[in-house]
Parts: sequence; structure tokens; C-alpha cells
Amino acid sequence: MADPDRSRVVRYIAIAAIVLVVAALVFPIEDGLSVSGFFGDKTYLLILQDNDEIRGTGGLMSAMGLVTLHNGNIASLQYYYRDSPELQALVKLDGPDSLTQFFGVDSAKLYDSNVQYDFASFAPKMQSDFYNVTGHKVDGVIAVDFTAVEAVMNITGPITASDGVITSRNVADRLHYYSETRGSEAEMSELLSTLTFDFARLIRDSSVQQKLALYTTLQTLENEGHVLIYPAQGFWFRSAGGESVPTGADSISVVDTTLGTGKADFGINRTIDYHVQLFSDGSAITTLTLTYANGCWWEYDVFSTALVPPGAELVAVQNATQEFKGPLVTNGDGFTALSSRLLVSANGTGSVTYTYVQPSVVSASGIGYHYDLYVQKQAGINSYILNASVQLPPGATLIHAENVGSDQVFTGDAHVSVVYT
Amino acid sequence: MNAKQGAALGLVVLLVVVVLAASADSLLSAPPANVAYTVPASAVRVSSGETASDGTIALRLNNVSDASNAATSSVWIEYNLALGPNAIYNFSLTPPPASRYLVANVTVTNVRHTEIPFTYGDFVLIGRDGTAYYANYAVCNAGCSAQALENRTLNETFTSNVYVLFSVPSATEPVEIVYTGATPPIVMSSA
Repeated sequence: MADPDRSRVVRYIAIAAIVLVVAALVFPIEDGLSVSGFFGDKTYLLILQDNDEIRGTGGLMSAMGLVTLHNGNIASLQYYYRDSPELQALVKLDGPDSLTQFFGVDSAKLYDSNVQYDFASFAPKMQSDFYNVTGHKVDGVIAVDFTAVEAVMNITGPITASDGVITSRNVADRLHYYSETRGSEAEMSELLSTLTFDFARLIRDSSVQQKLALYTTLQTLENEGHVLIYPAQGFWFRSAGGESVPTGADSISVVDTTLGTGKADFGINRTIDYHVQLFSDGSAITTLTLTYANGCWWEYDVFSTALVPPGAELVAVQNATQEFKGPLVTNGDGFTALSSRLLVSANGTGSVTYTYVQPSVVSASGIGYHYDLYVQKQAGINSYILNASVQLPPGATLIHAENVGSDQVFTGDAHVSVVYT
Repeated sequence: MNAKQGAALGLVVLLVVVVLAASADSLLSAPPANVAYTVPASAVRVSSGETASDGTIALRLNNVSDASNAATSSVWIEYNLALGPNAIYNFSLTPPPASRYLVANVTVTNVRHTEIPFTYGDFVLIGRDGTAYYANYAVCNAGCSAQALENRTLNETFTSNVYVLFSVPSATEPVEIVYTGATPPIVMSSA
């Protein structure tokens, strides 16, 4: 005979599980309805970032759309292009110091003002700048890059436009072409508007299975920094970059800006070589090498900033590239920035190596000492190679190591973890 | 509802969620659906090296080659460099993973003797399995580029080789190049 107390516990657990499952389903739906304008119209600023020309927040802003959603439908949509007077307006830059000091600039055209280290820092300023320039207030800012457009088109299918058929295979090149040829606003408008309406229609009319596919796709794109939403939308999207690293841990975040050589990042392979030597007092010496392999037949000009923990002291820098300027060391809220400009030869390789001392990157707890390195991928970058090695203090014994090794390819953030006694 | 029924219901709900999520995942991992192009019966068909015309534009497919071919990449880079600051944009010849770039060299002639519209976007490459791949980009010499690519119109005396690039899966073998901007379309065999 069943124990009545045991049955009651089992019943409570079952009810709790059902409540959890229902909540997990209902909250995203509620968030989705809110985002879609079911609880009042919502207006968003859509930013198309060309991640073939990388910028701090993910890519050159090729176009911006002002979209208002009403009960899940697009009530209005208006696109602005790079050449439009609104996006050509000059706005003040509020940093970052690495860029403003290195280049001696304090303003930029609106379309080229995404110079912050992450989208979460940039988006509120963009909301304000966009309002000042256009008079339009927005509830949020959504950025998508070309990688995201290709992924979404794999679901929505091709578009038949006046300029031929556009598929996920050629959409990036068509967007490049339209943005670089005069008088192509109509084609760009047709393509982006069709894409936007197709996407909204898919969200509204698709089957549950397709909606889940779309949701999973968007979450993956968001996790990898190809779709960025500000402010966070509850259970849907929670990250727009700029997450803080746990206190006492080591971290590296490389933020690149492609300069005068234009669109080239489709041909650039990035490698982070990270070697850290730990000492028994918890301090460390790090040797960080950033390598750019240029697969393009033209030079690649990049302004590269490595954000490392506050208190890091640069002791040496070396470079192996065609031309090099730097380094510049600046400090911000919670980081030290090491910046250099590299010119990488056509079909060649360029690198910069920083050696710096960190006062404390090891924590002691539980069974031993913990060393954690958080590698934050820049939005817009498709992938990078991480070579991570950790040299323990003399006499230490390794207990556990994660993501230590060579030729590790990541499409998102990475976490290197070492435990030793 | 007793404990067993509650637990069973919870498990069923969980199972439904897992199955839906798994099927969503399988949808995601699927490659993009192939795009087909149905050649109309009225299309003009010619072999490689032959010229076909609809009375407005005349086309001759000279060859289709892989962009990794030294001669092909050399021509492509030469035309980009020759344009200097007037280049529309530089196009890397390094294809994405699991893809290759095929370049069709087509001689384009205006036979209308008046300005005619033109877009490289009307070129389609048909693979052996019938899948259609639409053009990514094109290059040609400076005089041609100003008309065919910048202004998308060909003047009355226009004639030039245009190099049209297609991104295709690595195993794709080209069978035909179709120009859909002609009436009727012009189908050029690449064999």
C-alpha cells in the first residue's frame, strides 16, 4: 500500500513540474505578444550591420529601419540609408577613450557612430541620437547583421525582386552592391522591406514547429552576437553584449574596427593565442597574441582593442605585420584597453603580441585554486580560433582543465577553466 | 488527479516540449531549400561559344571557370584594381565553407542601337541537378563597369566581356547559364 505522505510529495513535485513547464511556455509567449505590439504599439529602430566591415557593435550600419508593430503586424516601416541626410548627421562621441584618443576625434556621422565596445553601451546613445536627428522615439533598438539575414533567409526562402532573385547565398553581395552604387535606394528598399514583411509574416502565420525553429534560430544568432536587442526582452533575448565578468576572473575581449580598406572581414581569420603563467600569490603574466590572416587580395587595415581586466600592466608589445601603430593603453570602468592599428598585407598575416602583468586572477575555494578566463566574442565576428595555455605555479598539481588547448574554434564566447592544488 | 496521473501529465507535457524543440532543431540544421528555375519552352538555346540574341541584347558564353583558377582570379583582380577608387567594392575570391565560386565569362552586346537596361542579377547558373544559383557579383573593364554595373544601362554601341560570379556548393557542376533579362530568356550551355 502506498505511503500517503510519499504520494503527497510526488503529487506536489508533479504539480510543480507542470507549473514550471507552463511558465516556461507562457512567459515567452507573453513577452512575444508584448514585443509584437499586442499590449500597445511598439516602435523599434532596426539597424542592419554589415559585418563584412566590422565595427565595435558588429558592423558598419548600412541601413536603419523605423518599424511600428501593432497586434503582430507591421503598421509602418521606413528605411534610412547611409547616404540619407539623417544618417549623415554628425553626432558627438562619448568614447571609448581608446578610439577618440588614438584618432583624435570627438564626433562621427550617425551611420558610423557605433564605436562602443558593445551594443548594450551603444544602443541607449543611439536611441537618443536618433531621436535628436529624426524626432522619432523608439521603444528599443534591434541590430541584425548579414550573417543573421542569411540565416533568416534560409527559413523564409528566396525573394524575387526587380533585380533578379535574391537568396541566402547572394543576399550579402547584393546588399554590398546596392549600398555602394549610387541611386540604388529603390533596390535596397525593396529588398529590405520584403525581407522585413516576409519575416513578420512568418512569425505571425507559421506553424508551431516553424515558430520554434525561428525562435531557436534567433536565440542562436543572439547568443553568437548576430542579432542584438536592446533593452533585453524578458525570456526572449537577454544579452546585447557588455556582460560583466565575475570579479577576480581573467578576461579578454577583442574589439576590432575595420578602417579604410572597406569590406574585408569575410576574408579575415582571427586567432587568439593566450598564454598565462600563474604564480603562487595569485598574480599572473599573460602573453596575448592577436593574429589576423588576410585571405583577401587587398590589404586589411584594422584598429584592434583588447579589453583585459583592470589593473593589468603592459610590459611589452611586439608586432609582425606590414605596418603598425600603437600601442595605446587606456582605462575604463572595469577594464584596461590595449589598442593598436595593424595593416595586414594582401593574402598575408599580421599580429600583435601584448605581454602584461595582472595582480590577481586566481581564487581559492573548495578543493583548490581556480583560474577562469572568459573570452567574449565581438558581435558580428563569425568565428575565431583560440589557443589557450595555462602554466601553473611551481609545484602545483592540475585537477581539472577545460578549453585549454590549441586550434579550438568558437562561434561564441568561451570559458577556459583550470583547477589546481 | 492522483500522483501517478499528475506525474504522467507532467511527463507528457515535457515530452511534447522536447519533441517540438528537437524537431525545431532538425529544421535548423537543414540546408537551405534548393531553388529551381524552369526554362520556358520559348527560350533561345545556344552552345558555349555561340552567340544568341533576342533582338535587344546578344550574349555569348565564352567559358565557366572556378575562381581558384589562376587566369580567372587574375582577370578578376585586374579589373577590380583598374577601377581604383571607382571600384564598387572588392570581392574576395575565397568562398565560404563547403562552397566554391564559379565565374562565367560572357560577351554582352547591345544590338538594339539605343540605350537598354541591364542587370547582372538576371544571370542564373543551372547545376547538373537542376538547382538554380543566382549571380552574386560581376566585374568588367572600366568603360563597361560604369554602364553595366554602376548605371545598369548599356549604351547603343556597348560590347564587352562581363565576368559574372556565382556562389555554389562545392560539388556543383555548371550545365547552363541563363539570362532571364531577355525576352525570351537566353540559355547558354556551358559544356
